[in-house]
Amino acid sequence: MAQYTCLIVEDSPMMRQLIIFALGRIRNLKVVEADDGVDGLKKLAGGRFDLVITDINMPIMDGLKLVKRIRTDAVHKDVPIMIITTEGAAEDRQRALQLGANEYVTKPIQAPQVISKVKELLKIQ
Amino acid sequence: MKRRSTDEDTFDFGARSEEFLETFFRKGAEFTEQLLQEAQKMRERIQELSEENVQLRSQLASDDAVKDLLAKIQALEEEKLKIRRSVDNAKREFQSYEDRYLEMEQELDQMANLYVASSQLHATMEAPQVLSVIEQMLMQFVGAGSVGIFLRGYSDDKTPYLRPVHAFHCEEICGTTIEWNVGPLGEAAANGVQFIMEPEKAVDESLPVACIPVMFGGDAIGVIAIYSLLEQKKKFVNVDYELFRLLAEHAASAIIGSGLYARTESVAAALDCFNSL
Repeated sequence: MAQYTCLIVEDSPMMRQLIIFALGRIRNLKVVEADDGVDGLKKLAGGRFDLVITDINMPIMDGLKLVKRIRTDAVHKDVPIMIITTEGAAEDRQRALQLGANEYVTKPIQAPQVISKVKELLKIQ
Repeated sequence: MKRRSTDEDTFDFGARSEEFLETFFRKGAEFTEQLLQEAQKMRERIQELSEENVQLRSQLASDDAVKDLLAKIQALEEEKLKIRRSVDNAKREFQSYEDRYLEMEQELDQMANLYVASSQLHATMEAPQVLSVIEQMLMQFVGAGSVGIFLRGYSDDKTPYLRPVHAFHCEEICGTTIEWNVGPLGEAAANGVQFIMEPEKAVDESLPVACIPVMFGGDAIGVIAIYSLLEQKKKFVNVDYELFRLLAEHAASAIIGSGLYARTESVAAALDCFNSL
């Protein structure tokens, strides 16, 4: 059975907890948490990840910068990235997707929607 | 009377008998010929009848087969109906299970939201963090765009009023006071009843779309106000109302607890206070 590892980069512990709660319904998915973009990059350097879920508005390094950095990273340049953000404007979505994000979900999240998109990105039936 | 001679008689008799015999044999031959023809006709008719009989027999047999087949078709039709009915029942049952599953999923999501919100609300005793958790809860879980938290204060003449202690994306409320029992905020505080407006019906942007009284011991110690929602949030849903209820019931203890904790120097001092009760 395949084991997937997902990195959640989110400054709100409450939101992280909620996302982890939702992802708990996907079998064989291990979750690693990071507080911001810089912490996320550190965690990425320390392992191999199958998916990155990130917020946009975070201190130190925001989610869009993180997406840019991941897309130039030798190891993780192809890892799927899902953005979960409060920014609901069409131009924000377009910018994130142009930078290399694969999915863009706005808050407040609905667990079934997040689960379905994560499964899609991980190609889980 | 003159009698004919014997020779003449003999001659006549021979000729007549010959004629008779000739006629007899000719007629006999004709009769035989007729009989043969009749017999031939009869044979042909028998042949025809026997062929007809065979045909009729086979038709009868095929009629029986058709009857059997019709009966079988009827039976199969009935079976098909039965199967269709049971398939329909199974479909209905499946649909009801699916609906129930969806309901359960929604309930699970609501529970998860409430669990996370409640655990985060009581995870800290630092006053600014408690207010920040309330703000985050409303922003992340409900989709609030701007949030104000007001607490009850008293004027010199002991008249209660509301004063803002936290503002998120609505800094214009800072330094203002709200009269008790005046406007949606004041009324929510005075009556202890939530004021919630359908966001699309909101006409005055300066007025909150939701006012949640923070209740303690039957009285409101403050009000949480949502002034606007995120662009993508169009209306309140069930889980939002559940969160409002949770905040109304639990925010007060978190706020009061954090206020009391701020007066003590440390956890140990707070525990001493508790032990001295």
